[in-house]
Amino acid sequence: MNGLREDGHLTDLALEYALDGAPLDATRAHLDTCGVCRARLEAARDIELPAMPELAAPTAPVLQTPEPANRPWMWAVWLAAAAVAALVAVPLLRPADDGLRVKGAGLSLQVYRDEGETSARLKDGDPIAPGDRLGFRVRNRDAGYLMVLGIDSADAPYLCYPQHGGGSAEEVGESPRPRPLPEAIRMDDTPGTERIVAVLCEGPFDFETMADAVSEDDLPAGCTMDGLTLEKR
Amino acid sequence: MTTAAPTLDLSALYKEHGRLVLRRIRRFYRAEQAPDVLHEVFARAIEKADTYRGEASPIAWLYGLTTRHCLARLRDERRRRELLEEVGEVPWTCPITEPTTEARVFLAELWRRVDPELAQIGVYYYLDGMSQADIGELLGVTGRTVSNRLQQLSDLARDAAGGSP
Repeated sequence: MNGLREDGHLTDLALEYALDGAPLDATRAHLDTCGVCRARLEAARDIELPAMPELAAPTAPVLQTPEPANRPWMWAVWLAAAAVAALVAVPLLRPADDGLRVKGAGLSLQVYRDEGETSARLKDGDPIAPGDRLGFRVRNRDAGYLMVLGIDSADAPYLCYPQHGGGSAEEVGESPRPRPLPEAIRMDDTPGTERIVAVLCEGPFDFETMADAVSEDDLPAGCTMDGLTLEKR
Repeated sequence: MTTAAPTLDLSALYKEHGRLVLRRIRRFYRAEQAPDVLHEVFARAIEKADTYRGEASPIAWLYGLTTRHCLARLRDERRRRELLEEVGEVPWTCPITEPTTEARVFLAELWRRVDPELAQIGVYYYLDGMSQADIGELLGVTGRTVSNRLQQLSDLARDAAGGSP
């Protein structure tokens, strides 16, 4: 890798190598002579990294952080616990004493509100507030393609999960126990009803197609849905 | 019982390279939004641990992972955004001083309409100013592939700009 832009300065990626103490060969001479890039290096070093809480032990309950954690890290802790459990093949989630709804379709969506050190599971009709951070757990008896969508009070759909898939549903294996999804959403300021649904289909689909289908309550064949409605005040 | 699945020491990764991820996020998001995105990227890192090929340094892997996550996140946001939108002071970046017309078209709205890989290539090229060879190395494809994809992007940008050069 060369690491130099057309104008001769370091690319942002090359800057990272330099910050790591291993500048790319082609950038060494430039760094010796360029005041601009040396100033960039100094500025980059000043960035403040938020604290990271200790990771949960493999046997810790998924939905409670073992240590007081900065609020935004709640979800990372959950996911880390789930990942560790998966690696050691130890069932992490407690058996079905958690009040899950079991629907004939074999898909169940749980929505949780991050409340700092803990989280609260939301039920249909529960109030939420602007700025609330919501996370999800999904149980699906069948493998397929999964997406979680929201529809706001103006009937505008938005994607809740997967946010990393470029608008495509995520292929998932069967999950007989609820598993936490690794992405959360934060509520905006607009008051009104928010409908949140999980959709599982036998085949791939995208956000635009499914948003229309959910809005019109016209789910394609081979798809199942579960969801709830929240009141944003 | 253990498995042969790849593992990442998340704490060590965060401690050693969290700032890298945060800096990259700040290229796309304001300071107040960055911590939320930061935690998402590390959650994603656990999920995608099997794609880390065990290079001596995870810098390129994390840089790519963060870029992809930010683009996907921006693409799915309800509020339309331009990639050139002001995100506050980012003193360690060095802006491209004279963006071309196709760069402007790409960064304004075209990035959202093209496939994720092409959007990523466009960001590395138009926003970061990386060479085609460096982009190819980062993505694990040949420079020719990058060149072809950039030509495709250029054509799309020209069409979007109404055929003007």
